[in-house]
Amino acid sequence: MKNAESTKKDRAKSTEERRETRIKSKKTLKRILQEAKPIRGWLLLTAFVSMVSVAMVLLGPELLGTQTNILYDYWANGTAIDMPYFIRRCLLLGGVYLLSGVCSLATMFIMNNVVSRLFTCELRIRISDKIRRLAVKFVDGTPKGEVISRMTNDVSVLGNTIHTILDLTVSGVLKLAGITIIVFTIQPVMALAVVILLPLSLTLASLISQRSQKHFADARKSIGDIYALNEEDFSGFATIKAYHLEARQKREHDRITEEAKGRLEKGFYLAGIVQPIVSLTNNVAYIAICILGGALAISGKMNVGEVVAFVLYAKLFAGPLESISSGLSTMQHTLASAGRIYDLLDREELELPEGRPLPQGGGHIRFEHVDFSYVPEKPLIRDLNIDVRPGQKVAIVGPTGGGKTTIVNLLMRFYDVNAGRITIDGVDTKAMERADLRAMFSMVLQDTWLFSGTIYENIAYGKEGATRQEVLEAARRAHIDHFVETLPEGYDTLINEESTNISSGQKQLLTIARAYLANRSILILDEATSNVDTRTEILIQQTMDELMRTRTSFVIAHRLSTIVNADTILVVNEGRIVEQGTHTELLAKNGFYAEIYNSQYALLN
Amino acid sequence: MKQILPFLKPYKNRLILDGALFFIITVCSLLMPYLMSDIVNVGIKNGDMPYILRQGALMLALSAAMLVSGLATTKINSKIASGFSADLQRGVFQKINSLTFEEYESIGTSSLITRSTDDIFTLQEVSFNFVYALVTVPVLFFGGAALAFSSDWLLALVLVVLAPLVLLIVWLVTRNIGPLWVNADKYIDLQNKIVRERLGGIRVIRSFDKERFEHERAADATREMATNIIRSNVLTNMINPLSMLLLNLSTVAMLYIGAIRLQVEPLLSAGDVIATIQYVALIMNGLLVLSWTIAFMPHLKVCVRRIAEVLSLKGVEAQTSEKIRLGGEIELQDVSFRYENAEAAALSHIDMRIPSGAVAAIIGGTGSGKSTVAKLLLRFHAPTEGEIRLGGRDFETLTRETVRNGISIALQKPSIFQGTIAENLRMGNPAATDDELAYACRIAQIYDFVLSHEEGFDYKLSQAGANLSGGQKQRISIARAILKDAAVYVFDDSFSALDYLTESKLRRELNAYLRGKTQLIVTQRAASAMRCDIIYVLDRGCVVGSGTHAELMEHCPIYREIYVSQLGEPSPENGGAQ
Repeated sequence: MKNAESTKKDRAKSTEERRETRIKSKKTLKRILQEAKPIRGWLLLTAFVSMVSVAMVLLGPELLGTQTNILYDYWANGTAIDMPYFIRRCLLLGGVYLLSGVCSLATMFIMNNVVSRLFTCELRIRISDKIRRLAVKFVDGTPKGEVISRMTNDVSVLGNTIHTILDLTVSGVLKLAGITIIVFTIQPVMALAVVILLPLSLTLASLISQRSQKHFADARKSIGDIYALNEEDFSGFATIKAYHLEARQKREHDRITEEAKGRLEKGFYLAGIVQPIVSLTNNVAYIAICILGGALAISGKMNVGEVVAFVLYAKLFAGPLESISSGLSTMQHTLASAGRIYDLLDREELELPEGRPLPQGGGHIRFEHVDFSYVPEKPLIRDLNIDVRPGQKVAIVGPTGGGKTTIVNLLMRFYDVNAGRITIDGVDTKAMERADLRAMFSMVLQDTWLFSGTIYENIAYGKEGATRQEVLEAARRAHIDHFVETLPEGYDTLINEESTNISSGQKQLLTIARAYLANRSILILDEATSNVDTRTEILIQQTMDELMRTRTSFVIAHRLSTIVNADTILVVNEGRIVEQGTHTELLAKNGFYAEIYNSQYALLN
Repeated sequence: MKQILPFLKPYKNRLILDGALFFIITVCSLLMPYLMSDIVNVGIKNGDMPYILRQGALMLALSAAMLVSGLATTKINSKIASGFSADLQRGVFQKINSLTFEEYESIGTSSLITRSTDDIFTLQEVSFNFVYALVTVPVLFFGGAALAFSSDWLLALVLVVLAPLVLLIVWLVTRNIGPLWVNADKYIDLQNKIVRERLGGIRVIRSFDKERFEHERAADATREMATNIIRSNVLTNMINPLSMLLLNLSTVAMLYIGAIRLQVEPLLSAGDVIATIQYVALIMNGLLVLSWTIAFMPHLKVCVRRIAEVLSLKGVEAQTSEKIRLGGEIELQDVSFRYENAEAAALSHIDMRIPSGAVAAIIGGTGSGKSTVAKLLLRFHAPTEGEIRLGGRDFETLTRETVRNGISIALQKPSIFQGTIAENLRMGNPAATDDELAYACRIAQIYDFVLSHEEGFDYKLSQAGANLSGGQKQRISIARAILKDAAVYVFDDSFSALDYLTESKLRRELNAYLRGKTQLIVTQRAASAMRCDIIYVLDRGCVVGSGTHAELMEHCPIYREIYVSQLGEPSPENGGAQ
């Protein structure tokens, strides 16, 4: 009883869900039509051209049939062939074919250019433009692959559908209607064979292929597992050797490949049997036409040419039916892709404040009663107050996850405070334009970020219109000049993901050079030299000290030696400033800082 | 190909059967127009309805035969394709897992992934069509041509003109399409790379106000990509309309030739002309299939070559582990090592002697060769010169497996596998009890993390430990290492992502737990090394100092330099003066 009730509820829920998806689909469809506005004119033109093409296609079998009949009449009944007339008809038929070919080439050419250039390409550029204005919060919380897949795969799927939309609507429907009318006017009984049998076979085929799609979807999942396992295995090669995991991995691999094998086999089979079944019905229709046509020809109700024409029309009938049914089946898929694209495009953008007050001063920074959390349920920073005078060096220390980087996120407004305010020289950072605010900062982060370009371009990134001399000077200051000069291509060496000729320490030096060149009034160093080897670090320290001397700076470091001389040390733990003061003060306090500081010397007691 | 053929062997009989069935299908499809021409020639002309019905029945029988054969080939084919691909994947996977590190590195991780997956999937897909084309096309072509010539040679001559023209078109298209595909792929990659970079570097980009610049860069790539895609699509999509046009025009030609020939050739019938037109259409389809198969050949060849390359690597055979309990003493005597193709030696003339039960450290900067020592100890590589002894026994006399049983390592780049925490930990010791797991985790300072999840040890870790921080990965890998029962424990830069507070707790408990076992700490941090029994200082592949912290502070300038840069001038407060 209870069970029945719950099923009922489920059913009600699923109808509700279905209704919702229907409404959503409709909305998306409307949106697609709206977005396709710029290419509407082209679509109309192409629709016209393809109508011509359809007309020619429909004319073909009719002409060919009559020609064939002339041949048959000559051969069977000895009716003489009027050669000049026959040749004229041949030329006419050739012309019809030629025109139809040219039209379909033209449609193809226009659609490719229009859809790819004016639709998919523009859509991708719009997504790229959108990324410019997305909140850091969204980017932090979304896997990169997801954004990229919307930009590439989903746009492709949508583009392909638009590409075939005319095949589907204009030529597909017109052809079907045209052929149906023509075959019924030639011979209604035989027409039934075409109009009933072929759609029947296609329905059957699409039913089967739907089931095969399910297996393929399963198989794709297994194949995804195979990729994951292989990637994991090969990148963990050393671990596998060290722990003798070969047998375990083999078992796992065998299991997944076996699973994929079973699913693929079923998918292949179901997808594969569509063809023999379709060809059976096609053959049956063909035979039916031959027999019926034969009988009708004997009784003189039809001529041989008409039978031949009929065979050709039957063949033409299958094409658009197939494309319409496959088009409809991909529609759901397309709508889902379009939904994902528009979802990204509709994401909230950063709001731009009005007016552009610029702080005047040397970089006096205050955090006043700042509250912040990434997720509302987990408050991270509560009532944070910091006062940093111009030119001071502030060190932030504390355990990982304690909120050190969060302070940087707030300072540069990658995230906005929930309550309280942050001011620079008395100006609330919220009132400033983000670009203006950020133009005051230089950052060197632990996760070095270099883009794929030359070393020179990467350093010059810090300053618009930097001269070559300035770039080289920055490299010299960052002590990366010697290394760069040893490279065969020097400053023109390309940096990319695979580049193994540059170590992570050298990458950090490049970002230091970039920050040096940028010459901003506030400096943020987040584990800036963590990967630099000790000897270079000693050399670079001088440059860093020089940079910090005249600037307000924030330094995050594991190595406590780099922060002992800071003007203020903020000890952050669990989102709170638990202690604040100079090194000596804090040690004297014998609190959390002292514990952290002493721990590095207490490693082996 | 030599390496891949054995994988097809189990399917030999089925492949032959498959071919035979394809043959039947093709012959039947050619006979259909032939029978139809009989209906026209005999049935309709003579008004012989029973004859038409007989021929119709015959055609129906042919269709039935085609259906049955079609279903059978589909069944066989789906078995072959999925089975062959799975077998090949397993073969390649196992081969890769048996490679030596040199062989492994000679191909590289990402290429190995492509070869063991994408390449095989391509092969599976294409080879399917290949068998089909191989059987169907010749039968269709020669059978169709024979039938066409048997009705009239002049009519059949159209084929002689048409076939090369179709092949020419396909050849011209596919010749130009390859580079376009390559280009399009290049720009797709570029676009994706830029977007990936933008998403990853959003803070830096925004701090330099470069979003517009980055957007323009991405947009340029997108436009280039569109241009190349359009060109290649236009070329590809030209094949069908063009061949259709050719076929149609040749039909017109055949009508004209038919009209002339009928008047001079008494043996030619109207039905023959109609049938020939249909043969030509069938052959045309076959030609298109063939051309596409040929067009894919270069791609297929590359896949086959790349797979075969992996399969032809020697690898090492797994040896069984001897039942020896190795001691914990480590000795390196005049050991040198040079990576293949490397100009400079990674290690030169290293001497080390770490007594059983000692806690030793190897300290040095990046590129000093300290991790290479760990790799040699696990026999990932064999030293180019010199001897390594473990527990007093020469490496040469032991199997790899025995050595690796005696040493447990937490690697510099900890590999976390998809699966639960427990599964990841039990890689160190499959027989470990839940209590043992908990104990190891407590020592590794990761137990709180385990408890913070409702599922506890059954908490699922994602691929490559994507749901863990660097420090959590390191601690899991440490717990895994200490679960393994060994004589020597190597920690290769395993504490680098931990803060000092956590490291100090962890090391204290580790020392208690591993008392009596040898520990080797490979590190960049002076603080991690300073309390060890013996410290080796490595610089550019050479040992430049060894001894205790106090000795090294006095005699080894490089050690002192490292210490001072990290911890400041020695003072009583930072443990410098002892």
